[in-house]
Amino acid sequence: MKAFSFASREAANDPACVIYDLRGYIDAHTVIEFERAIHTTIDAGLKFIILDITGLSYISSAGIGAMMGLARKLSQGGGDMVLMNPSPKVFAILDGLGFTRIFKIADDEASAVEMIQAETRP
Amino acid sequence: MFPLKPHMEMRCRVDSTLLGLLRDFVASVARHLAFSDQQVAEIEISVDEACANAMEHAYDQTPDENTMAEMGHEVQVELYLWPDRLTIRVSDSGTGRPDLNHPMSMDAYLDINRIKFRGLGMVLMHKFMDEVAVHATPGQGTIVEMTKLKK
Repeated sequence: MKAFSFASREAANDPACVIYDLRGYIDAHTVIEFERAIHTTIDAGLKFIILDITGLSYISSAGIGAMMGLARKLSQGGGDMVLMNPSPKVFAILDGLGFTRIFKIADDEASAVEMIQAETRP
Repeated sequence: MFPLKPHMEMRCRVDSTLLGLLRDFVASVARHLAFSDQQVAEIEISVDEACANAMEHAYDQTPDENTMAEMGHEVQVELYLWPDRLTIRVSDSGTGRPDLNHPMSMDAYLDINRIKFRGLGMVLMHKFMDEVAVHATPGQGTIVEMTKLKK
């Protein structure tokens, strides 16, 4: 398995939301690739992002920090970010550090899109 | 300081692509010692953070990784297996980082004015391990000792 990879697509119910399907792990090494993807996203003017982390087996503080930076940047530009379907292991790490109260987390794509729409386009 | 020799030890060159192997190894030891899945995940990420910190901050990053290896720059991971706990010691022979004894608070980490979200590693180690101690000697290196109790 590749250490880290991602693919992006439009959300089925809302083309303004882009879903990033993250796979592998994000640690101090692979975070560079993740951050590069993020910057490409923001530079392209995308505002509503769903990170599908179903396939993310591990995340370190570097990855959490990169996600914090992305959420902050999107929020400042009137956008929003939702994490989708973390594995029990990744959820436990986020929850243990209190990030489940900071990040928006959805179980599936429909819920993630609803969260973004409710918050930014009521 | 530990008077005993570790039960296991690994020496790793300063190369962040090796972090995955390091944490997989320590996680498999923790699993073998019958720590719970949650505890294994907490040990795994704590070791990863300590090793990543050492690789990123202990040494002058000017030379490339091969040169650093030739200069003897490496990170050492020692495991001490006790009946009721696992102690992990991550050490480097870099500049010595006494600042690690004072990790920032979570509030400081979440400060709205922060541009880069860095520095969570030590907060995380203190959160997930039962004991964390940092021994930093200027010019000689830093040792991070972490212990997880079996509960």
